[in-house]
Amino acid sequence: MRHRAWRWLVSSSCFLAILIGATRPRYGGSLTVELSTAWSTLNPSEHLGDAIAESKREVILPLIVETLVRLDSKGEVAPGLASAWQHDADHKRWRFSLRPKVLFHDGEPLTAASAEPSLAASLKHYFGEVTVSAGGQTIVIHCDRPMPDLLQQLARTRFSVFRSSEREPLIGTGPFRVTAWDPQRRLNLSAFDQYWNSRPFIDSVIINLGASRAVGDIFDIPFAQTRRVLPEHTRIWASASRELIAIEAVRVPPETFDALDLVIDRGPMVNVLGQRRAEAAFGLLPQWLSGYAFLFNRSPDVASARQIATRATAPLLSLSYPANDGFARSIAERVALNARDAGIIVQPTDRTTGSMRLIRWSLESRDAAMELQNIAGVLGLASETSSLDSSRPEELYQAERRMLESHRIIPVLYLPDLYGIAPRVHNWSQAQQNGSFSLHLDNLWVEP
Amino acid sequence: MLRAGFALWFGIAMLQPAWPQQMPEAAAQLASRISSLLPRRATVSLEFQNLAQLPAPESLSFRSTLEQELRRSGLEITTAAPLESRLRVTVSENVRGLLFVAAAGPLESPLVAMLPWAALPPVDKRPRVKILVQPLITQSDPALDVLLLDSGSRLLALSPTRVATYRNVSGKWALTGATSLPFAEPLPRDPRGRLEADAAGMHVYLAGLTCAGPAQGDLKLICSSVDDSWPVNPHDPSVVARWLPNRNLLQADGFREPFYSAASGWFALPGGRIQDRNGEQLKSSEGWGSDLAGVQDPCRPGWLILADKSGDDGDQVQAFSTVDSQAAEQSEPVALSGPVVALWPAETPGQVTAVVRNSKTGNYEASRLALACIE
Repeated sequence: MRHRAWRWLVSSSCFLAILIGATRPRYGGSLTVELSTAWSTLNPSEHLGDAIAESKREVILPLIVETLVRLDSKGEVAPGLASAWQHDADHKRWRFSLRPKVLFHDGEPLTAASAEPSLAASLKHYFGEVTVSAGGQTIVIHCDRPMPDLLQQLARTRFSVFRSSEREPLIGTGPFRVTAWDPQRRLNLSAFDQYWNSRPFIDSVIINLGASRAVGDIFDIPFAQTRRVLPEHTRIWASASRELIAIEAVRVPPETFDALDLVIDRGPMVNVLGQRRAEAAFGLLPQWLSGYAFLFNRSPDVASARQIATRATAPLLSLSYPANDGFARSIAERVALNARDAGIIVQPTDRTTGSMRLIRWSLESRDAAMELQNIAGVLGLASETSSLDSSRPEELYQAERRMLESHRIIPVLYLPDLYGIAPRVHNWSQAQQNGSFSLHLDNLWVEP
Repeated sequence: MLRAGFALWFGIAMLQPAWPQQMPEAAAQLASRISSLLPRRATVSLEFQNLAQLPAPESLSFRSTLEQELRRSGLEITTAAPLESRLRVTVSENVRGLLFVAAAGPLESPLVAMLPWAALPPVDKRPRVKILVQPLITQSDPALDVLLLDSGSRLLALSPTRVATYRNVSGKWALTGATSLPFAEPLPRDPRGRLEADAAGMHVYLAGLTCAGPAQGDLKLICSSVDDSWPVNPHDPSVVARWLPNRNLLQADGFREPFYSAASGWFALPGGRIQDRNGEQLKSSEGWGSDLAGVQDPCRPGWLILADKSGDDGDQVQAFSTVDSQAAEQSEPVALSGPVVALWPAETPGQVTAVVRNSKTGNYEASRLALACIE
């Protein structure tokens, strides 16, 4: 088998995609997925502590577990395991009617009683005083404070409905059931014949974790491995910009922060490090999600940065990046290089402490308000984003501007998820036209 | 137990989408927001960019309308202005649809107005139905309405002075009798009248005269000089109207203005306006005439409107649907031999009676118009 650099294949991927004709899907076959990251737990409500691993687990878990509601391709709430819902006037009490005739992978019917434990645990974990009561097919969630965005929250994978047992780590209602789980190494899935939303085409899926080779039917391509060689005829697929790379300031004088913000030149990072797949980030939300990100765009201004920096006390700044993250290290080094032009000394480091941190933040959904609130929560700026609504972009913009002016974060790049797709995998593009970033393997089919 | 606690709960909670609207409305709304940001009578230069998938003609049209609306709101627009007086308008888009963004003032901290824009769903331009024309009778007297009885074997024709009865003999209508109408008042200059039949018999309604009689057998009418009310569409009791004395107009309870005709909740008013009970105008009804008639949609549940329009060589009729106060063509227009004299819903829900005065012969031609689905 001949191998070539994936850069060549990027240019040919469109052509290969066109060659695939419109054929009726075939049932059967097995699919192998290779992911570069690994994780140790399947529990959706358990935080992993590694942003990249978390984002990759987010794309896999929806194959196994489902949420009460989901967000559609426009980021609007759509029924999931709940077919209808109501709330009271102050958004504290919510009632959900569960979809009938849904089975867990072990054959137990989905009822309010069977859904309640996992929901109650995750809601209490993330929101504190929340009570969940169950009766028949009705679940009532009672919060101690108004929760107007509860639906958007419930669409997150962490609030999935699931059960577990000693033998089975994760019993969900999704299109695939877990047949084997080897933490950090391998996850085997098989099609759930009784899936309420129709059985997947594929019989089984083998997901290898921590894989470093470009093999398998589907594999992710980390930006750190841009020189990776790919099998011939592999298609490259890029999602919409999903991951924000930004500098979080921990202890940086405001003037130095402003100078650094002005001097960072994102162009070479997009073109060289991001292989033109990346997008310069000046705002927190990407343009496709907010529609107003272009308002934050600007060119580097070294002269102004230098002027501001001279007025500031110029301590030695450290910029920490996640250890073993080659791409983040490259970005940090580039930032340090730019900073020097303004007379600011930045020392990249993989130690966990520093005056600045390079963070990687993956979008979970297509709901701009919720994503902004999530970022604000990480930065300790939650008060800036309370009561946001994605249908009111002016308010989102004002909140985002306040966050950017808080001297806490400098957006640098947006990255898409990149995947290599083997020629025998069909229906990939159509399958991904969905609201979430998860891999919709249930809609794929493979050549024998 | 749970249910009782939810008795007063709100309905299903869904995010409110931006209402579908026309581009000119969006331009007007954005202009209003922009002008609220700026000082009164401010002078700005307009910079425009399209970052979205909006086609160039629509983008240009939007820009042009926006400029007009901005001027109307009191702003002065010049070709060149200092940086701080530039108004940057961008047609952008996000995951929810198009987004109009206006930014004024310094680039670092602009004043910003945004308008999410949900375009009206694309209207299928292909005609969905076709209009079939079935001629009935031609006469030299003005015909105001015709009514088919006895499964179409008998025809009543209303003219300003009489009701004539015809019987179908070998495919031709043979006159079998006529009854004069006893008018106490002169007829309006543009006489109009209506024939209707129901279980109680048949009825004649003209301005200043109401008659009734049995629908079967010989035509015997009992008339009185009153203006009784009658349903404009016999299959839709929502609009019950009567003639306005000495006028060619109708009036109806619950609708304050006199009107020529009504269909599907829309009223054709003097001055060419088509509007509903709340005074909302029907969009895209420019060029419609005074006669509308409701007709059952042959392809799906619901009603369409047949409306007359002026064509190059005479009047036309065309079928329209109305959704969200917007008329949409559903058929090709059908040319008629002259001006429409009458257009009434027929006794059969899928048909309309049309009377046309032939421009060449001067005769009055009554026809039945029916709709059929196009495969």
